[in-house]
Amino acid sequence: VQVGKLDAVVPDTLLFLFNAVKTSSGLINAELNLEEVEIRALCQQCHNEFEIDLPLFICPACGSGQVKVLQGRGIILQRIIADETQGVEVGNSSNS
Amino acid sequence: MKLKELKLEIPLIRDVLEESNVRARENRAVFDQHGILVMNIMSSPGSGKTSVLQKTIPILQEQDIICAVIEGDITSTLDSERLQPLNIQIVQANTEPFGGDCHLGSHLVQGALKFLDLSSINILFIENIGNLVCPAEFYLGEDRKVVILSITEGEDKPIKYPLMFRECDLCLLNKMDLMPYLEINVDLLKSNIKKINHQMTIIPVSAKTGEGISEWIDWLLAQKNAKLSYGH
Repeated sequence: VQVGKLDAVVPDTLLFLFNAVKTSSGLINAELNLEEVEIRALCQQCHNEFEIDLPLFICPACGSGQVKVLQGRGIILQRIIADETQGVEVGNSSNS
Repeated sequence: MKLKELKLEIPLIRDVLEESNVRARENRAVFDQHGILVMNIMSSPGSGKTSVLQKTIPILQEQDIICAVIEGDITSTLDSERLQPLNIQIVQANTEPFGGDCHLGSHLVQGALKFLDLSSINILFIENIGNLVCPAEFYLGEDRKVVILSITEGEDKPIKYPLMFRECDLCLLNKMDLMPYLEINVDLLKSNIKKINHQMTIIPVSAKTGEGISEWIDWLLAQKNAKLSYGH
């Protein structure tokens, strides 16, 4: 799951809650992998692309406030990986 | 019986808020169909959302503009009761009687619309739940987002709650009548807002004295006329 830094999501809290919920869900071995997405912006004046790590939406190159946020917003579920290394029963004639 | 190792990767790339955004777009389609301008009003608790509406709506009514309010609260109907004398349509959207969500969701707004006669409304105000964090995350179908910040809250709030100030189109600086009693630096406050959102329109107001309210009304009317001229 990708989490934009601009969103009010605290990764530690989300992981804590996920681990609390999964114990009663039948998916006790499930793991949540979070990837924080940095805030990147493009200056509309000088076209400088830069990262925002402080709450300051100003171009570090030219000082313009006309900046467009390119990434760092949204919570995106990228993929689900089912990894059954314990083995899966197949070919049981009673199920066919 | 035989055992087999299985590793399956299912790519999804789905926005977790997709369902919420679908409902919001449905709300927006309904608003556009009826030509209703919709404002999502947000602030901390006690910044003056209801007081600003109490001051604003009678002035709009004098200009034959019909207003309605969706009143979001975690609990209680106190804000709705304050707006009752205005003789407008009000829908109370409590999230839970003993403490629920900290923001209004698009599904709650959708539910509230069933209780409104949409054909007679020009401007709908959605008074969100008092909170500078979560309400900023959720699109409800509104045309514009407005944040009310009272000058008693300090110059640092835009920096502490950047998403709210990044998302909003207009900031009303309320309680300007308290200026003589506070040590607030309003220029610094405005500059902090501009550091987060260069394009933010900022209007100092006082819901108590009426200072700045006419400028806010002008802004609202400009948004209404712009919406109508787009042919919605």
